[in-house]
Amino acid sequence: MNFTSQYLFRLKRRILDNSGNPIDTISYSDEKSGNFYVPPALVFNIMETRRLMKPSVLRDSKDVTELKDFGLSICSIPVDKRKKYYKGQKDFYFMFKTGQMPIGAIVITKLEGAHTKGRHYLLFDDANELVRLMGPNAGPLGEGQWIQLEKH
Amino acid sequence: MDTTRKALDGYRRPTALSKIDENYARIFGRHFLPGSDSGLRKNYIKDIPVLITVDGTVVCIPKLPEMGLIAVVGRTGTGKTLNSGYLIDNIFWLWGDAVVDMNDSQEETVTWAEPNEVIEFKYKFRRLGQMPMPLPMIYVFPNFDKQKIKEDILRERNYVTVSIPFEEIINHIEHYLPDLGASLKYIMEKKKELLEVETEEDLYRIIETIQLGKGTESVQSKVKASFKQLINEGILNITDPTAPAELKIFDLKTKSTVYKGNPMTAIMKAECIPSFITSDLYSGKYKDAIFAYWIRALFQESLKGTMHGKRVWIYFDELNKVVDIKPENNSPATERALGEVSTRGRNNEISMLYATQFYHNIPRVIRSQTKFAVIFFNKDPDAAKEICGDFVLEKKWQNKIRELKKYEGVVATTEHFICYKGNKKWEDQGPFFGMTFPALHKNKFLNRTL
Repeated sequence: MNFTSQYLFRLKRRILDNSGNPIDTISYSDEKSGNFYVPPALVFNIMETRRLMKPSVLRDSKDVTELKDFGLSICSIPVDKRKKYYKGQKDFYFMFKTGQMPIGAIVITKLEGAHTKGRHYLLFDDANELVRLMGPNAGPLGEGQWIQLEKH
Repeated sequence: MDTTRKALDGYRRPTALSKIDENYARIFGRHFLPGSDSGLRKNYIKDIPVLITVDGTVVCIPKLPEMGLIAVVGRTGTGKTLNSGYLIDNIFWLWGDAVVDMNDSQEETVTWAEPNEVIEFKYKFRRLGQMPMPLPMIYVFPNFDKQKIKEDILRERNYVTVSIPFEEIINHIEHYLPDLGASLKYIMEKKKELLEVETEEDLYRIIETIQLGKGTESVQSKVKASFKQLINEGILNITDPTAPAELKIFDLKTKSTVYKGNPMTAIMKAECIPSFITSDLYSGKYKDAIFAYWIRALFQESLKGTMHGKRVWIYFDELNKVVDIKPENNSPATERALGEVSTRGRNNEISMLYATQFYHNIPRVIRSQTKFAVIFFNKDPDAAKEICGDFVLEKKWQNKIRELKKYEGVVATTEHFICYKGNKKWEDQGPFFGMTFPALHKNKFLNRTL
């Protein structure tokens, strides 16, 4: 195997002497070398990059204004036939970033109001700065996703 | 990265995950992927890894717009040449820069055109997802009667014998005929005519016409004898076409000559690595002149911008054999040429990578421009002190250098390193201690059959 000859052949360049004649000791070969350069890379597990959680400090709240500083709003969304959790479900309750609500969403300003009828509440994890919505239709088991609290 | 080099089968394009896996993950979520791929990602490194620390941090040399010099320092058998080989592999393939080995005194590079198949090292490459990879080497022999071309070891290798241009010898005649002393000024009067010489007979005819003043005949015969010796030793080549002073690169795609000139630059223009075989040069009296010429020629080509934006890396293994502060090993012309590369090369796209056992004996002009150092075991307290002084390292590192094991190294810089761990990347000034990486190409001494 002569790697240089194979490399020069594929490069389509010829090394000639100053008069333009081929040099006897430089050859060209059309064989394939089978060598590949692989750039250096670090393989890492995405799980390793997850934040280490502190022991949670949980508290309940029914005050929606607490979310205002973090740019979050609770919305009621009409149910999508294919995605409902149970037969006869009419709406979902999710938290969205203010201004990024989907079309048709109704913003809930009071958890004690006509929509939620006091069955929903906010669960804060003060140690890890997280919040989730709890109550019917907030998730398949009545628990919404944890959302990171980031101040604007 | 140069597009031509990428297009060859010698380069594999990096992909984070295969296209199918990406689509699958987008629709069903990443946890639906097959076990091996579900949580794994690749963080491709664009800088050259030099070391992996105990906590798994990969320390890399970044590609800076103005690269200085890189030194690999350490006693023989500590991993110095293997690590400089790894740097060369990645400078050539990853950065796409041009490399020239200017001092192969032990014919080490004959194995560089083969992949490194040592099992122990293959596992080390896996750590960075790399594979053994040869280099496209072309061996350059100086036209010199004492230089023996060992055809048995060069079987299935590409090599060429080159001469120093006639003009260079006439322009720097004092380097090649230092014994002539005051008579040189008479030769210089005929410089214009000498440069037009086409045969040896023409040369002697012109020497006969030189007016040398008193004792003309004896001095004339001395000048004639000196030139005859230069021709016999192969240094001065006027008519021999088998040892050209220039090479031509012809591109078959464009059907045009890409470059004609300096053989080293020509080989680099052909995307190969020239390796200057100097095993028999040390015994010759022209060592200083020959080294100085080739270094000067490479620097002049860089000033002209011949490589079109590609940085040229001149590699010297055992730099002390070429330049040394000790008067008995001193090569003044080479030192001047290397000083020029060190000080002005940074902005002119020419840099140097050198390996040495005796860092403290390297001339100050080269040491002061060294930006990165990979330091291996060195028991000499003076050498450790000098290195630590140049890179402003605390005293504890001096002791560390004297305790290093095989393939362990310390890296230091006057710029900064880029560090990678997982998907994190940050700048750090170091120094760092850890394990170095071996060359992707085959090493002559480690692959020797006992």
